[in-house]
Amino acid sequence: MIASELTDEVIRAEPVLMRVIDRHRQLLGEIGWGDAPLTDQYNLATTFELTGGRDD
Amino acid sequence: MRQCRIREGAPVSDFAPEVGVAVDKIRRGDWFFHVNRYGRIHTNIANLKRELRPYLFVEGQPLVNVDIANSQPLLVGITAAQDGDAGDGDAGQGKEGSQAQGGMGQGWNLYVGRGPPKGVVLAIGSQDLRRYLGLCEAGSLYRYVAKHLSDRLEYGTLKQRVLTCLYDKDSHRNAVYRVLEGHFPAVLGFARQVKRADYRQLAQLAQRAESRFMYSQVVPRLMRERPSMFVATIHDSVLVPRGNEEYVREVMASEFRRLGVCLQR
Repeated sequence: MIASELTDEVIRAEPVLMRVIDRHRQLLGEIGWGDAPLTDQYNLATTFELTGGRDD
Repeated sequence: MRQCRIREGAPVSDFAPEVGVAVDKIRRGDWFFHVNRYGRIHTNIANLKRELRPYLFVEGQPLVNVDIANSQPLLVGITAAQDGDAGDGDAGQGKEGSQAQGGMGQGWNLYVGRGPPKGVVLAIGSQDLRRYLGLCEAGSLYRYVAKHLSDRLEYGTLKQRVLTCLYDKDSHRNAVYRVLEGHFPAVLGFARQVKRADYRQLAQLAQRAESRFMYSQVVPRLMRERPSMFVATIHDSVLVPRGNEEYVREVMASEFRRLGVCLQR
C-alpha cells in the first residue's frame, strides 16, 4: 500500500470520501466552509464525525 | 491494515450506497491510504461508518476504538496554550508565556513546522484558558456549556455547535457561542485572531497538533511496547483488538501528561 497525498482530485474521484463531505454539506455551508477546498471540507467533516459519535 | 477484515452480517443496507462501497473495498482488500498536508492519515478504516466498526476484526479478535473525551476542544486549548517558539518561531509569544501556563506542552513541537500567524496573542496563562483546559481534562466541557444554555440541546448537536463555534467564520453569534465567549474570552479571542487572515487556520492547527500527538507519541510507543498488537488510527483515537483498550487508554493519558495535561478518568 502506497501512501498518497490527499488532494481535491483524490477526493473528487473517490465516492467514499465525497460522501463524508455530503453528509455534512449543510453544516459546512452554514459555518462558511462551503467554498473551502475539498481537502479542508473533508478534514472538518471527519472531525465532526469523530466528535459527534462519542458518548462523552 | 491489510490484516483487517469485516464480519458478515454488518448492517450495510441500513446506510447510503456509498457505505456499501466502502465495506466492499475492505472485503476485497482494496485499501487506500492518504495523508493530508496537516499530517492526518485517511484510510478505509478511519473512514468507515462508526456503526460498522464493531464488525471489524483482526485474527479473530474484534477491534475496539479508544478515544479521549473532549479531545478536539482539548487540542484547541493546547494550541492556545502552546509555546509559539516551538514551531518555526513565527508565532506571537515565546517561552516566558509557556512557563506562566505551568508547563503546558513545553518542549513539544506542536506545530510540525508551522505555528499560528504572526501577531497572534496566545492565551497562555489566562484564567479562563486554565478553566477551559480543566474542563477538557475532566471530559466535561460540553456538560458545562449545556448547563449555561437556557435552551436544552440534544447532546450530539451541542458538541457539533461547540466545534463549529471554534472553527467557523465567526459570523455566527448563537447561544453556544455566547456561552463560550462569556466564559472563555481568551480562548475565543485566540481563535478569532488565528482565523482572521484565513478562517480555516484553527482547524488546521488543531489537526497538526492531533497528528503530531498521535504519530510522534502515542503510536510509536504502542509499537515499541506491544510490537505484535494491531493498531489503526482514526484521527485522534486508536483502534486495537479487544482486551487492549485499558492499556491504550493509559498510554494516551500518560502521553498527555508529558504535555502537562492530566486527564481525569
